[in-house]
Amino acid sequence: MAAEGEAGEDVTAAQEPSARSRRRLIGAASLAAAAVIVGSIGVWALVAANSLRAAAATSNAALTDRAATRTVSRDITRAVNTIFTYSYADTARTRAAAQRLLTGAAIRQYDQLFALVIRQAPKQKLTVTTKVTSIGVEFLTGGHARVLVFANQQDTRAGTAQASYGGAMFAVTAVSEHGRWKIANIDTFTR
Amino acid sequence: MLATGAALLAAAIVFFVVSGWLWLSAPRTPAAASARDDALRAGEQAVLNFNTLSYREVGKDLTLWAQSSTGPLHRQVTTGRAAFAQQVRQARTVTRATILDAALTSLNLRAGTAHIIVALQLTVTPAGGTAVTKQSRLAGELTRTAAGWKLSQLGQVPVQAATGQKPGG
Repeated sequence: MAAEGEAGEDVTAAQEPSARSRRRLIGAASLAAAAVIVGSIGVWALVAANSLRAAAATSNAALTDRAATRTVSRDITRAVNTIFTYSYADTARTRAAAQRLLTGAAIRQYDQLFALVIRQAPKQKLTVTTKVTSIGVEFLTGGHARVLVFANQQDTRAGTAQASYGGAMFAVTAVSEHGRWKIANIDTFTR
Repeated sequence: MLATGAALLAAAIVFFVVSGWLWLSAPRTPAAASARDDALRAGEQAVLNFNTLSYREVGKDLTLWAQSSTGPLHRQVTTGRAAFAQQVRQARTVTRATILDAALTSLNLRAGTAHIIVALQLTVTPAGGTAVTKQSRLAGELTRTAAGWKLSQLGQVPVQAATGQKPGG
């Protein structure tokens, strides 16, 4: 036993430098392994963060982003009230105001519609007041929105006390330009 | 070698902290978004159900009305059911509907209520007559129940809103 012990001690003494370097190797390998594990989790987190951001950029914020939903509703309500409210005495004023509230295809759509108004309204001495009664944001992302609008119209002819009432429903595609929502398209569900 | 390993680990930890922070701070789809989508989908289907009625299947159609509703609207459906079914059978009309568009106008998750507006196209075929197609503006209130969102109020939006009175309802 003693001989063996001595022999063992001798062996350890002789192998001491290589055992230390092996321990160092194991230590370094463990650090490297830990680095790989931590790094992998980091890579996963980065990928997950990017996909979350991508999803959020295209996700529908209607009603979930209350402030943005309120802004779209308010701007489009005002725009609809303005562009469809006119007096036979001054159709030019409504048309001028509309140019600031419309963009894209809606400009042409409105001009076609309003050409009729410019011809007819003075003959009939017509005054039309439009009021949005219900507005719902269906889709809202970044600078684009789709809004469903119910509006009531009151038509009055000068010289007559009678007024007639009508209801309209249409969907508006809205785009945000310089912080203000404009009407880019009007869908009246006529097929 | 140990120093290299330690440096590697330190770099990995820095990277982990940065990417972990990016992940934690990334925007997440709020629970409200899926509740909104559920409410809108259920609301559209319920409105469709309430505008589908055939004298040939009054029983089945009215059961669907009852299943799609809760609260005051549900009470209206169940209370007048027998008399109404009798009327429809006598009138021999068939009503079909298509949703042109629909949107929620409000969503209150805490109270479990939402308001919906629906642009609807109705086709009514009277007994022996030709079908008449018209558009209709509807507004309703949705209430969340254990079995999902159901209509608690539904009505046409009047073209002339009385002053001071809320339209719809």
